[in-house]
Amino acid sequence: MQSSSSRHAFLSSCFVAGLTLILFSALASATFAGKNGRITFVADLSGTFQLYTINPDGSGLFQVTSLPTTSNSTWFPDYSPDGKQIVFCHDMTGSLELYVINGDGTGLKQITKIDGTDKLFARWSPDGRRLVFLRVEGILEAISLMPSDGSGEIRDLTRDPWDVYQPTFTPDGRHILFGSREGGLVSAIWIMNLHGTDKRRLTKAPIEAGGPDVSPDGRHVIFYSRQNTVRPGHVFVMSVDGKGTTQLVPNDLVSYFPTYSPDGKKIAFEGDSLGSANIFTMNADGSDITKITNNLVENCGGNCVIADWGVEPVE
Amino acid sequence: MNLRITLRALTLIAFLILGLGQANATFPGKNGRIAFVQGPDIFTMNPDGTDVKQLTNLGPDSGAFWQSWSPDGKQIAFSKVGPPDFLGQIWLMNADGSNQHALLAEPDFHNEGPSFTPDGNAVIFTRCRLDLPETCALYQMNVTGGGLTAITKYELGIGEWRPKYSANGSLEFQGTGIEGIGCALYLRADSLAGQRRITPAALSAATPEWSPDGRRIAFSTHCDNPQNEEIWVVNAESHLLHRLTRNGNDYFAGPHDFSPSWSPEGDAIVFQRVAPDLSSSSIVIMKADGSSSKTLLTLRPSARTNKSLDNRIHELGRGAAKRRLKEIEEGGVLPQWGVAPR
Repeated sequence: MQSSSSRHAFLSSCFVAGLTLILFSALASATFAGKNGRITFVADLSGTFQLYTINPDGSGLFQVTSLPTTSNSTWFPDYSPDGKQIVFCHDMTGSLELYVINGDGTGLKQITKIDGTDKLFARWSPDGRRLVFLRVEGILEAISLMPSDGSGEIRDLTRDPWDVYQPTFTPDGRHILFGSREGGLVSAIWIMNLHGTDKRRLTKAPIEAGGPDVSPDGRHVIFYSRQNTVRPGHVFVMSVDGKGTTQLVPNDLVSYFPTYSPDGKKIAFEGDSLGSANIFTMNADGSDITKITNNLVENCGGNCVIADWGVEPVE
Repeated sequence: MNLRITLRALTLIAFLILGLGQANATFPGKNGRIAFVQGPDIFTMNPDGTDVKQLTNLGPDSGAFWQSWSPDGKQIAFSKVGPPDFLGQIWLMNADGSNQHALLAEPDFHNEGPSFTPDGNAVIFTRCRLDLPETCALYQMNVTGGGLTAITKYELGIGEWRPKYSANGSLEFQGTGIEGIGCALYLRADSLAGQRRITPAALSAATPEWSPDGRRIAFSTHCDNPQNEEIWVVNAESHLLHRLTRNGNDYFAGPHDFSPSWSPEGDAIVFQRVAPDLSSSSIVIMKADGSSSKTLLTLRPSARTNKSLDNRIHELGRGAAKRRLKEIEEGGVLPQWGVAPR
């Protein structure tokens, strides 16, 4: 995948149009890397939960949706690789279905059919053509793939009798990381290929890892500890091979659901302190932790603000 | 800790001085009746399924469950919930249902799952804090009231359930969330030596029950994942495993087995079997090697008539992980085999 800021700089340096066109396919398959755009999240700022975006410095708050009232605050929004659309789940039909909306609030579209299952945790593939998500049928759960435009069939990648959740593509589009309780652990992060085979566990007990996000250069994974527990979680980083686990956010700030910035240099995450949940940013090495929102969710018990950092769209 | 050590030492001294025989001091003995739960109440029956007697009569707003026999077969300790706060209380009654009385009812703790010490003088149970979520430790108190003593310490998000003493005083229990493992069995052979895990994480072991000789523990598997629950046995010393029931890999094609309980003579195990489609629940008996299983009684699943009570029970001291599974488990029949009183 596009690694890194150097490729981004290269692509954004306004080379000749022909060269850009030639490289476009490589960019499209690479994806989430790019110039840092806005951060999307869900919050109850107007009497009901809605989807918002905000600049990484905390300015420019924008309400994207005006959807029916729901008690469900976990929509798991995810920016498309081009930064123009956001996929999320919502229960307005009675079941959790996936929706896509443009970043300016136009073009809302339900992309999954009501079929007795719930769909959530949707994440775009790097080429923008597919979504990986969790499909829940009763007590059985599967990590599944579908075309991002809602056409075509849903294909289950896992059918294992263990809880699975939070799938996300690697930037090369060839693997999926996900959380799982396989083996009787409270939670661990696993990796598999797009056939649902060649599964490997990347984290060990007792860290109870969840919420993985892969760096744009494909080399690192950020996640949080204490998934599936009531204990306070904290953001960690490790190599994509599962080695070198390091805590990034100190114990005095409870932290969840980290997301890399498109340039790979920053991380946004949910930070909980004094009963309030907010979006924080920091450098990828854990330095310069900054709160960018003002008491987004009061009386938060954890996992209240699930944010995603998008690419700045190129018109 | 010092108090625990002191109590432990006093218990040991009492055994030595009073010469209480290890083998007949507790759960081993002649096979007696089987206690079980149907709806909100506790019943008993003969091991062949005959002579069913109702011991409690609590009505739709209350519930009695997690019953356990005294070593002499003359008493039953159980959990009870009801209005106004629906917090779990520890109760005692005679084996015929007479003399029902509360042993421990606290406004700021949820208590459940009592079982007797080998000398029958105390009960050990799970005591959950209400000020911290999913935080439950093991406590013990005298059957005459008083003497509430911590056996384990509270730790946020850690649960310790179904404590059971063997005849020789080893304590086993089901732990949830300990060292990143969902469910497993732990053994405290000696309070000084601490506890050790005796089942692998992948089995997700629950509802442990000592064999009367104190050498093996029967348990059910997959406490918190959608796999077919089975009855297994683990050797307390070697940790060798023995699989007694095999229910396949398809959750809705195979039965779900819970809550094994040994016969006091050690020759058989009784357990709860839920139908593959979760439509009914049975009490099944089999030989201790897993052969010759036979259904004694078939009941409606989760026969509690008051669903709000069910939900309230689930909220107390428990996570939200797999409420459906918990409904089967906690709304189940929980067969417990007692010693025939002399």
